[in-house]
Amino acid sequence: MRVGVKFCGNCNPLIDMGAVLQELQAQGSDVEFVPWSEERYDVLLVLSGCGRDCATRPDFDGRVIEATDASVDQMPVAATELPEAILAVLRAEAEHE
Amino acid sequence: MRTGQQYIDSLRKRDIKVYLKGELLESSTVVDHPFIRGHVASAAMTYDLAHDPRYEDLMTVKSHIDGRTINRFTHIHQSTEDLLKKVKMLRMISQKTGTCYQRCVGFDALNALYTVTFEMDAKLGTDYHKRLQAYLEYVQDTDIMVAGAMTDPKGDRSLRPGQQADPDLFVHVVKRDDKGIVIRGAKAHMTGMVNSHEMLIMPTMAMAPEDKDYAVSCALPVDAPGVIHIFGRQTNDDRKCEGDMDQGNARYGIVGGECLTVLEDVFVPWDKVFMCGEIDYAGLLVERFACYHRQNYGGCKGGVSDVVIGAAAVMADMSGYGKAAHIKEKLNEMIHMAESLYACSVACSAEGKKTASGAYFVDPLLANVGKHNVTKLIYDIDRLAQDIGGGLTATMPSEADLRSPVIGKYVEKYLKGVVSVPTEHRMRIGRLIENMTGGTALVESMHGAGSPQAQKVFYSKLSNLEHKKRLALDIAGVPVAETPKKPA
Ligand SMILES: Cc1cc2nc3c(=O)[nH]c(=O)nc-3n(C[C@H](O)[C@H](O)[C@H](O)COP(=O)(O)OP(=O)(O)OC[C@H]3O[C@@H](n4cnc5c(N)ncnc54)[C@H](O)[C@@H]3O)c2cc1C
Repeated sequence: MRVGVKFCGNCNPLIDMGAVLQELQAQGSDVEFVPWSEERYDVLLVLSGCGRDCATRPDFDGRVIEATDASVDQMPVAATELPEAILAVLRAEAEHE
Repeated sequence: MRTGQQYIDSLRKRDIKVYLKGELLESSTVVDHPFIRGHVASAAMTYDLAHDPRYEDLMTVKSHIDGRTINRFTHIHQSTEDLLKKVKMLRMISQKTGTCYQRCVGFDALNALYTVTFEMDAKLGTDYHKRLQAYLEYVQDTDIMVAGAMTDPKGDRSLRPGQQADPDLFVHVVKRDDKGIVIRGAKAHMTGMVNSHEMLIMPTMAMAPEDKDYAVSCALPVDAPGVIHIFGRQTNDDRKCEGDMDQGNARYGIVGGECLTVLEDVFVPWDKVFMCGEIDYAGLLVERFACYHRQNYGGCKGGVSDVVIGAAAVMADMSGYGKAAHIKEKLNEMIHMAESLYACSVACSAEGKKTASGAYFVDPLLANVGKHNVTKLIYDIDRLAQDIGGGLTATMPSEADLRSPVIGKYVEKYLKGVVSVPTEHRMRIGRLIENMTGGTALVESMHGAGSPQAQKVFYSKLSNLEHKKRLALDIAGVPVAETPKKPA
C-alpha cells in the first residue's frame, strides 16, 4: 500500500509529527510512505501537529486518514499510541481494498 | 418554530414546583412573578427574533436531520460557520436584552452530548447516540427550551463524590430497573431552569471507578415528579416589586434567574438516559460542554459590554463631560477590551474542527483563554463604567422620591445634568449602569462556565510549554536534548 503523507505546516505543534512518521516507517514495513505531491498513492494521510487539523487538503479521490496529536479520524487516541493507531487504520484499509 | 408568546403560553401548562422566599408559587403564574418575568421576557427574545427577517440569518438554520428551518438554539453545529454564527447571534441578542437569555446552556449541552455519545457508542457498543438523536429531533420539533444542568452542590471540594459525608451532594443513580433509572441530588446555579421545559443533566467532573453511580447524564421535564426548584436571590431584587425605574433593566433583569434544583428520587426512562456509569466519558463530556460554553462568553458578554459602554458614554454626555479627553480614552479602553473578548470567541470558532459525530467543536485552547479573559476584563470594563457613571450610580434617590409631590422637585432639580436632558433620563441611565456593573451581574462573568482556575488548568494543559522551551533553546544556540514526542 502506498500512502501519501501531508503535514499541516506545524505553526504551534503539540506533537512532533516528523518523529511520528519515522516511527510509522520503522513499524510499517508493509506500507510505503510517499510525499502527497507524488503522482499515485492509495491513501492520503494528513498529519496535524494539533487538534485544529487545518492542513489544506490536496485534490484526492480516495480515502483520507486524519491524525492529530490526540486523535485518528476524529476518535480520541493517546499521543503515545498514535503510530500504532494509524498503522491499524492503514492496515484495515489495505484489507478492505 | 415557536414565537415568544407561544413559548410563554406553553410554560403556563407546566406543573412546576418553584419556591421563592419560602413560598411555593402557583405553577401557571410562575412566569408572571416579578422576580421571574424579566428572565422569561429575555428568553422569549430568542423565540421572537427567529421570526424577524432582520435576524433570521443568525437565529435560524437548516436542521442537519431533515433540512427543516429550526431555531439555532436547537441546532447541532455542522461547520465552523455555524460556530461563528452562534457567537454573532449571542452578541446580537445581548445587545437587545442587556442580560442573559439562558438558552445557550441547553444548546451547548445538546452539542456536547451529541459528540460524546457518538464516541462512547463507537468504543463501548452502547446505543446512547441513537437515543440522543431521538431526543434532539423532539427538541427541534417542539422548539422547547432546555436548561443545561451540570454543576452539583459539591459539598467539601477536597473530597470526591463518593467520599462526601452526604452522598447526595452530587447527582447520582439510586436505582436501575428495566424501565429506567432513579436519580437523587441537586443541581446548583441553574440558569433559566424555572422558565424551561426540560433539563439536561450532566456530571460535573471526571469520575473515578468508585464514582460510577455519579457518571450520569439524562433529560427530564422541569416538572417531573420529585423535582423542586428554589429560586435564587439577586442584588436589589425586591426593587422588582416596585416601579420599573429603580431596577435599571426592568424588562429583562440581571443574569439568568438562577435557582437550586432539587432532584428527590426522580425517575428517568432509559430512552432519555445518555450516560449511566461510563466513568471514562464523564470527564470528556465536562470538557466538551465547558469548551462550547466558554466559546459563548465573548459573544454574549461582548454584547452586554456594548450596552455598558453605550450607557457610560450617554451618562457622560448627559452630565456634560462627554467631550473630555480622559472620558474618550476610557471609552476606547472599554471598546478595546470588549472587542478582545469577542475576538477570542470568533477565533475559537474559526479554528473549530469536525468531530467523529460530524458535529463541529470549538478550539479548546482559545475558548478557555477567551473565558478566562472574561473573568478579568468584564470587571475592568465595568470599573470604567462606574468611573464614568459617577457616585450617583450608588447613591441615587428612588423613583418614588422623583414622583413624590413633596420632594420630587428636589430630586428633579439636584440630579439634573445637562439642562436639555430630563432628570429622569439621567437617572434611568445611572440605574442601568448600577444594574449591569455590580453584584450578581459581575459574579456571572467570574464563575459562569467555570471558575478562572478551571480555564487556567485547561489552557495550561494545551499550551505545550515544552515546545516553547525547545524553541528558546534552539534560538539561543543551546543544544536541545533528545526531543520528546510529547511533553511528559
Ligand atoms: C450566574 C451563574 C449562572 C450559572 N449557570 C449555570 C448553569 O446554567 N448550569 C450549570 O451547570 N452551572 C451553572 N453555573 C455554575 C458555574 O459553572 C459554577 O459556579 C462554577 O463551575 C464554579 O462552581 P462553584 O460555584 O461551585 O464554585 P466552587 O467550585 O466552589 O469554586 C469557588 C473557588 O474554589 C476553587 N475550588 C473549587 N474546588 C476546588 C478544589 N477542589 N481545589 C482547589 N480549589 C477549588 C475554585 O477555583 C474557585 O476559586 C452558573 C454560575 C453562575 C454564577
